[in-house]
Amino acid sequence: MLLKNLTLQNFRQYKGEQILQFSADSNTNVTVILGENTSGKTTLIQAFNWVLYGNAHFDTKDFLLNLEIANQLKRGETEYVKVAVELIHDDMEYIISREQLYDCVSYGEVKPRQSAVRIQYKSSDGQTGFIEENDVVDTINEILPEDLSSYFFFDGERIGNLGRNDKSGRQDIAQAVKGVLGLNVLDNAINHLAGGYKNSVIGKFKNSIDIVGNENLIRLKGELNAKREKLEGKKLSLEDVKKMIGYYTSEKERLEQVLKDNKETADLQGKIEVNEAEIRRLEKRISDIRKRLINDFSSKAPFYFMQPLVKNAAHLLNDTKEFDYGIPHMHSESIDFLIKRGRCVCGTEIITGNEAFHCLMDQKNYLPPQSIGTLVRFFINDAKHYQESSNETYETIEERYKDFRECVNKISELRSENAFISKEIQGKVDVGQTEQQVVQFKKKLEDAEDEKDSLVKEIGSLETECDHIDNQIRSLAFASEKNKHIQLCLEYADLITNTLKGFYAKKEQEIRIKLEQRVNEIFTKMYHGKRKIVINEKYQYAVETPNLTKEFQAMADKSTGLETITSFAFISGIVDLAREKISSEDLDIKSEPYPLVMDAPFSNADEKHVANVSHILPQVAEQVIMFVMHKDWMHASKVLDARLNKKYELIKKSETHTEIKECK
Amino acid sequence: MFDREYSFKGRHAVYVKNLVDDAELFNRNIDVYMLAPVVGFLYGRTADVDKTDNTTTKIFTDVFLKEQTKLVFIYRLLLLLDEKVEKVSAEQRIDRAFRTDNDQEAKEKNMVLFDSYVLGGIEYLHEQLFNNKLHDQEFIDGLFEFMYEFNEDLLSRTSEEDIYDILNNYK
Amino acid sequence: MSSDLDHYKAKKMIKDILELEKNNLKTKKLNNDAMIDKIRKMIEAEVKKCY
Repeated sequence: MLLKNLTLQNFRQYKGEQILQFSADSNTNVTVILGENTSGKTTLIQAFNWVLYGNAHFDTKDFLLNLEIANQLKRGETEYVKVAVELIHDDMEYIISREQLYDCVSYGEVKPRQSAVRIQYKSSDGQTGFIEENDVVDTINEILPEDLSSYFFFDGERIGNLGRNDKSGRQDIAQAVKGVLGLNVLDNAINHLAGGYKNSVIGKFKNSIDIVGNENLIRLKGELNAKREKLEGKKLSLEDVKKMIGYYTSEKERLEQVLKDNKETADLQGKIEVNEAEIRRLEKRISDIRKRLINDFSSKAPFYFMQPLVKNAAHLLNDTKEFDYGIPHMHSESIDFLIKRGRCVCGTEIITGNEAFHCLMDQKNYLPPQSIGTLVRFFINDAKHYQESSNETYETIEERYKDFRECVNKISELRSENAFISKEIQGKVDVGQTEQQVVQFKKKLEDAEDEKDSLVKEIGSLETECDHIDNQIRSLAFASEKNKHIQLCLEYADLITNTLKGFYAKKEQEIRIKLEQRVNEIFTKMYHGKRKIVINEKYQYAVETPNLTKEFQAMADKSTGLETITSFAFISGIVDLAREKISSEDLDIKSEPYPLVMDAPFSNADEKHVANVSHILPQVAEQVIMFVMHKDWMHASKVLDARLNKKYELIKKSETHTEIKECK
Repeated sequence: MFDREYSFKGRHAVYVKNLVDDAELFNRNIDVYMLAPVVGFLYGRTADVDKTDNTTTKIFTDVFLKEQTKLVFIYRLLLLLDEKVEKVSAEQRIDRAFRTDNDQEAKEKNMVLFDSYVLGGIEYLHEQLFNNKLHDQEFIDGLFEFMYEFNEDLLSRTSEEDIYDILNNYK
Repeated sequence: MSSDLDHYKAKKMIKDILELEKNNLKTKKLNNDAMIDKIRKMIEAEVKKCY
């Protein structure tokens, strides 16, 4: 998005109509507007905010009409406040204008009316028109989302908003960033396709699977809903337990630290902690051994226990060797054929009920499929095979069990030792009570961990059950003709969703990594200290200062100069990234470059930083518009003069009248 | 056989859950289902389905299909040896074990027999291995003891004959 | 149970859905429910086609 010009009419101290043209040349892309404080720099920034979003934050509230004009109004007369911004976005030229009528209702009383905003567009092929009223707000937000606006109109004096540098205080701009970087389309598609159990394309398909007249499906759906409810309940409980665990852990650690700090008990406490570490290691080992033992038992026990039975069965089969003495290559159907034709292979007549008939019928027992010789042979082979595999079963399990017991005993020993030491500590006058509290918290922690484990198990099995039922519903539903179509639609929807999700995840991570890299590149150029910015999945950022303790970090961040630099690095990172087109062969996502408009960007930084910031910014944004004080311009001009195209000065004629003058 | 879903009901469902979910002595329900008939037969235990309770726990079809071969083996084994449920001659038992694969009615009868050993075996396993008051580690102790006793018993029996020899003799 | 899905069809559907979303982002004419409905109908129609 490129800004072409800004027109003000009677907006605050800008009496009459005044125009600012912006440089948009790729080499000389800096526009500077000089002016002292109170000359109207801030007002110009607010003009952007007002024309685009209808926001204006001034000390004297909403009164935007130039005061000199206002005072000249006679009763019944009206005057307009108007701001218009002309810009180019996505190959389209827009003129966004907002005007507000001011009405002199009586002497000395001028009232503002509603403001109205309009957008005129001109496309690259010459077509012009006005955007429909209902679409105006959305169009503006598509050009520059309001959420993100404070990063492109950088109001240096309002560090307060952006300065909340504690991680929780930072505004969640993930959505806006995604918008600027173009991931919104994918995000919305994925949400629409699979965003909710019920409210999504997939949810609707699943729901529309015909259940009327199919009792099983109805029952299954009921089961599924009940289980899902239960699952949600368990998940909530798990969250609570986790919180308690967090609390108990931090209390325990705090108290343990007290014990460590106390000279008398430092060693004893140390020994307890060493033992606890060993206990933990052993417990993990026990858990491993247990798993293997149960795996062995689960899989091998049946064959191990069936050994005596197999022996008996083998005896039985051995003693009765009367199978499969059938005629080679002959099938029961061959006999049927002979009987039907009435004559045996040897020529004997076969009539139902005669001796030949009975003989043949009997013979059928020894031919496939009635002949069982093969089955029995397989059975014996299997028996041998199972017998072999169960040879070592007992020894293996015994080994593991021995291991297991060793660990259990060792843990028991260590625990006794710790209990003993704990009693000693409790005997010490100063810290006895603290140790008691530690013991209490340890117990509470143990109980809570147990509860957490059982909840996790329950949740796991409930989830598996839900999946199974879901699959059953799908396979049952597929059987009905009516549902085959829906089933197919579901499969396509799944395929599409997974494809999009995969792509989105990949892109998002790429972008986040790039962003973090880019930001840190800029950051180290601007700030010569050993600092780094970290960006989390919510696109919130924080400064990490290695080698300093946490306390110092909190202090260090409070200096507003650092906050400014941090914000710059971040904004510059986003702006820089927004320039790159993110695309792939099949899916096309575009990103727009954005300009940087800044009011007093140097007001809180020192001379070196002024130079650094000035150096970086024009390389990073396609267009830079700066409102600067004369004193700060002295330092910045050395770096920026070469890139300057337009320079203006704000001449303060009076408290209520400022003129914009172009400097040649 | 063993190609469709099965639900444990009533107290047997509770026992299976105890063994699999609470004591974690078996990895899956089907592991109980495979051991139980063997144990049930060894110790002469059968039981009927308990319809008095709504508790259920299932084994799903896909799980069965994985273990079908082993289960069919155990099935045939029991049918070859069982004389308690029905007094049948050796020849009839062989028929029952091998010839009834395509006979729907006979198969159902066989499965009733098989399932009664399954349920009986579950009761026995539960008696031997499960106790509400036990902790994690004590379950393992109990499990090992169970195996130890059986192993002792086995050692004393197989010292007379070698199964291999018997199996190898079969032609 | 899962048939061999036609990947050309899937590709076309992806293109159409993204186009739909992109337009809606600009015009914001349709709310979430309406979008879900539209996408669903689009998939149903496309799947019904025999080519």
